[in-house]
Formats: sequence, C-alpha cells, structure tokens
Amino acid sequence: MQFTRFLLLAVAASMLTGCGYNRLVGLKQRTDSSWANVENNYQRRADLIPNLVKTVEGAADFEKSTLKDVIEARQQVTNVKVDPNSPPDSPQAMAAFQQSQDALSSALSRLLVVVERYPDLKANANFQNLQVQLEGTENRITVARRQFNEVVQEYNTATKQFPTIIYSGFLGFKERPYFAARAGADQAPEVNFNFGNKQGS
Amino acid sequence: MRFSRSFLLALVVAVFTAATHAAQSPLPPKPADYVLDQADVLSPTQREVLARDLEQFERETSNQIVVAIMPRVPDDYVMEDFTQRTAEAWGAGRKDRDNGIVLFVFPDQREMRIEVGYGLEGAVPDALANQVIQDEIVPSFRAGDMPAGIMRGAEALMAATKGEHTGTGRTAADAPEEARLNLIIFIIFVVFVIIAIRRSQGRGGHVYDPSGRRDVWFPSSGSGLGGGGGFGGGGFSGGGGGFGGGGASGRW
Repeated sequence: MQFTRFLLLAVAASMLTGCGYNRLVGLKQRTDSSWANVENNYQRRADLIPNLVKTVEGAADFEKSTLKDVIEARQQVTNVKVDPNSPPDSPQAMAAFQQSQDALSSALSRLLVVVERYPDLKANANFQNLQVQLEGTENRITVARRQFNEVVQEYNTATKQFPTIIYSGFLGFKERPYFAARAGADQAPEVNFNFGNKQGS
Repeated sequence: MRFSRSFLLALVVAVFTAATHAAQSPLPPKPADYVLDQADVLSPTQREVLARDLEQFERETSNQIVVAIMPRVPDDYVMEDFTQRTAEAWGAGRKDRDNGIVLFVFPDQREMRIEVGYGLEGAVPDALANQVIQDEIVPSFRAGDMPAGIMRGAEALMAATKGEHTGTGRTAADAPEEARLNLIIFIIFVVFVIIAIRRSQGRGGHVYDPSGRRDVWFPSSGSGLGGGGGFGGGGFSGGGGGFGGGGASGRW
C-alpha cells in the first residue's frame, strides 16, 4: 500500500516536471525568435537611414544639426553590440540597447518635424516613399516589442512557478529582461509621422 | 503544505497578470461576414455585394480580405495598436500563409488603416498600402462618397494580392461545414449498421429477405444524404493568419 502510493507520487511528480521542462524549453525558444523579430525590425530601420540621409541632404540648406543627430544616433545604435539570436541576459544590457534605439527614434521624429518646413522635400516622391517605410518599420517595431514582452512575461512566470522553480535556476532558465515602456507610452507609443496630413485635413 | 502554498502563490500571480492584461477594453469579436459595418456607411445591398466578392476572392486565392467599419477606436487604444491586435485576434488569412488583410475605417475620427498580414507584405508593401489609401480611398471619402471609396479600396487590394496564392475553391468557413456533414454521414452510417445488425439478429442471421425484397430502409437513406447539402454556406471564419504591423494609415 505504502509502496504503491509512493510509486504513484513519483510518477505524478516526474510527469509534472517533465511537462514543465518541455514547456520552459519551448517558451525560451519563443523568446529567442521574438527577439530575432525585434532585432530584424530595428535592423530594417537602421538600413533605411543612409538612404534617408542622402535624400534629405539633397534638399538645399537643410538644417544640418538635425541631420547630424540622426547620423550620430544611428552610429550609437550600431555601436551597441547585441546578439541577434537571443535577448541580452542582463537588464543593464537591455537598457543600453533600448536607450540607443529610442534615441534614434526621437532623432528621426525630430528630423521629420523639421522636414515640414521644406515643402520641396516633402513633395519629393523618394522622400515620401521613405517616410512611409519608416512609419511602417516604426509600427512593426512597436508590435515586435510588445510581442516580445508578452512572451518574456509568460516565460518568466513559468520559471517562477512551482514545480519548475525548483530546477529552472540551475538548468539555465534565467529570468529575461523586458523592454521598458517608452516615456509616455501609455498615451502614444509611437512616433507620429502624420503631422502634415493632420494639418492638411 | 509549503508546496501548496507556493502553488497558490503562483496561481495568484497568474490570475493577477491575466487581470492586468484585461485592463484594456476588450477587442471586438470576430465578425460573421467579410464586411463589418457598425457605422452604417454601406447600404445592405452594397455590403452584401462586397461581402460576396470577398468570399469569392477567398475561394479563388485563399487570401482573406476583411472590411471593418467602426465608428471609432476605443479611447484606451492608439489606432495602430488596436488594428494590429484586432486583425490578429480575428485571424484573417490562413495560418500557414498569413495571407489576410483588414481594411479598417473609423468614420467619426476620419481615420483608416490597412493592416497587412505577414504573408502579403510582399504583395502589398507599406508604400502600396499607402497608395491604395491616398489614390483610391481618400478621394472618394473627401467627395463624400464613402461606399465608393471602400469598394475601390477593396478592389485595389484584391487586384494587388490576386497572383500571390491559389485558392482551393473553399473558404475557411466552408471547412467546418464539411466536417459537420462528414460527421452526420458517419452517424447515419452507424445507425444503419446498428439497424442492420438488429434486423439480422431478429431474423436469425439473415440480412436479405429470401423473397428478394430489398431492405426498405436503404432508399430512404439515399434521400437523407441528398438532403444533407442544405447547409447555408458563406460567412467569414478566420484561418488564424498573423499580423506584424505591416500596412499603412491614413486620414481624410
């Protein structure tokens, strides 16, 4: 009697932990792929910038300081080295990555505000195309970041749940950092590129 | 006992995180048809015509294009956030192709967005989505003819995605109907088997009447199956396609 009860318990425990372990592996894998998606979209934005800079430079006497800010911010972004296949494991590394990317976001939005004063540039088909692409990329970044945070939250919760918490630590399932919400993200999480259209309507 | 306490704690944490998720107002439920018009912009005929066009388009290409007209974006959402989440929740497009597009129009705010699924971002890049908005939709909207703008926008999106995939002649909504029909056929089959066994047992093991008279039940089974085709098809059912924020927004 005593023995069968023990056996049952052992079987139940092994099933529980086996199931939890597999789930953790799956979740960790998903955080990695969500991260790759985030990285991919940031890369896509960085790739658009040389073209944008060239187009804007073409406009006569375009405000040099704004343009310089964008170029410098992009330089910063490329200086912060991260693994594209898995998220940074320390909150500090994550914060550094996010800070450089957000600085580029704000430099870009300032540039696009300044462009409003250059009607020729605004009417330039090449520039309009770039603007739409930037807008789309910015939106994809927002989505990718949100999805990344959701998966990380699921993963972090799973590592801290019983019974996984017993072994998650020494099997290398460490807690992973989130993206912090951008300043004022609860109201307007994204850079608004539609200034011109709003004024026009 | 310590275990059960930590288990409870985990449960509380899980419930709490679920609750914080639910803090935002809920997303609109999946529409029953390809055109959802909560702002009464289209006449019933226009809505029906467009919905059948989009349904036919799914049969031909497997691409699911949905038109959603709602008065406004809920106050606690930014439009792009709301439309991406809603399109994802509705699951327009097939799961393995992510080939859905949702055209959102919010008349009270004079804002709109084309949300493009992952699998159609090649056929409808952001610049093209923007072109559809600026060249096809906005002119009609500004002229006060919203139905024309919506029709033209939907047609442009269909034209752009036509060559991308080939359809199966069926929609995602048809598939469950078929499964149901199969289930009914199976049940009928089982019932007949049972009846046949019972009869044969009753007659001492003989399935056929020695007089050569056929079992009276079989002709009626034929008509029963024939009547099974009477399920009304149509309607939208999302295939589970994913959205990554591709598309374009516009105002008028």
